[in-house]
Amino acid sequence: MKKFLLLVVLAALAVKPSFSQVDNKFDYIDEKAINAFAQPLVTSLGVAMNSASYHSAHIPSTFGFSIGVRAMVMFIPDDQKTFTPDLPAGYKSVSGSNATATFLGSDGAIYSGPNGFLTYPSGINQSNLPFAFPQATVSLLGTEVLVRYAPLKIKSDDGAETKITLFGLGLRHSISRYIPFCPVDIAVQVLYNKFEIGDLASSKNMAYGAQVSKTFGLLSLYGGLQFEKSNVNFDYTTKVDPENPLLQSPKHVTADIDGNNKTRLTVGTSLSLGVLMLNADYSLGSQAVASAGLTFEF
Amino acid sequence: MKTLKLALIIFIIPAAALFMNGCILDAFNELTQNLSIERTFSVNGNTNSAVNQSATFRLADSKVYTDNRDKIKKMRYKAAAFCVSKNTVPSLQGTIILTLKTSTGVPLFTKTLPNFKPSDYLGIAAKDLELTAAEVNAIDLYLANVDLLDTISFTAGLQFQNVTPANTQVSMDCFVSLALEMTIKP
Repeated sequence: MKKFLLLVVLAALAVKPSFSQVDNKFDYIDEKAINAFAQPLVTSLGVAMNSASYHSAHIPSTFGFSIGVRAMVMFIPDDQKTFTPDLPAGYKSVSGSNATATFLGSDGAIYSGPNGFLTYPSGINQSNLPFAFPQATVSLLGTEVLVRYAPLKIKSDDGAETKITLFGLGLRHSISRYIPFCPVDIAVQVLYNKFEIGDLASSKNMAYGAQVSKTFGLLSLYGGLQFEKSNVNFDYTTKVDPENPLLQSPKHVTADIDGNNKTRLTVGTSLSLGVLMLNADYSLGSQAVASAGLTFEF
Repeated sequence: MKTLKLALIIFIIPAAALFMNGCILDAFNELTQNLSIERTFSVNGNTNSAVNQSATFRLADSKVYTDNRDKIKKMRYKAAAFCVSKNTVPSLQGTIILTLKTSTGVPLFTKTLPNFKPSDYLGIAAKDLELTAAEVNAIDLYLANVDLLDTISFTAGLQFQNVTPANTQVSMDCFVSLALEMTIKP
């Protein structure tokens, strides 16, 4: 149990500092660029939030309870690392390529034009993005309720505090219990997750899908098809850059951005070791994601 | 026991690797932010008069710099351009000589733009200034000591020669702009 708690703490530590710095990246992103700059991040958050909600399609017919932690890594495609901003007339890149970094990309571009330079921020230059959260389920008579909750408070060097909150709720029901002698377990699920990063962004994610699994002794194979929708509302005020014609004064930016994650196909395997369940799976979608889970089931 | 070992290899090690992925943390150890600083020249008078102006500008004049001044780990040159923001004589043409020096007068670059026609650039485009590797190195060296960035200033010089049409009243505003990249602690 001590090792399990250590893993949970490590997971929290891995995620906390990252998201406490997210708001720095938006200081000089105006309302024209926010959509393209942030959409890959929205997709990543959506993919993470809608991941790892099951490790089997089996739902106990009587009472069941589980608590565990899920970790995952999203693989970012190259085409989600850059975008071409809508530039004013007469502006061109000083480096040749007109593309600049999205939040997940590398170098921010510089464009020269009749009013001087327009500069864009760099991204975090990541090809994969990890995420982790705790999760608990309660099941009764073939129906399972899933809960995720993780409130974190991050204090930066200047004393500013950022509150990061993850909340998720899922409902899953066994279908195979209505099919006599069904050789596999089948379940359907609806999942809602909310992830808030201070006052900067609020991510809402919805997913619904069907799952199938087959158990062979201690080992189970599982898979699923899921349809999902993710949206992040950004609300922030830009900083002033008098040399940048687009940032002559502070701008209050609010934007609702949808993620590119629409469907995913998952395959995975789980191993039961008494009350301890270990699982790993891989999902194909807008961003592929590999996830692993460690669960205590009773 | 074998099953347990297999489980550790298949599940726990990859899971731990996911949990403790260092790359994402490294990514937030430093952030980079581009900024630009510029210095405007106003050329007013008769085109027969020699134009030779110089003006000083400081990093601390930049709002982006001052917003981040306590967190800067590194500053380096990215690009330079010459822009025209006002010109009352569309046919104005001549040779522009631009210089940039340190506060102690050490030359960082000199660029000559022969047959420069301001109307080709006014509201249309910037004239990108191509610096040599040695000139870029000189600027980067000047910016290398981040503890001195607050006191750093540049002196920009503008000469306008061989100006046509002759004996004409002109009013032209133009500026030299530098784009820099700063690496900052979050």
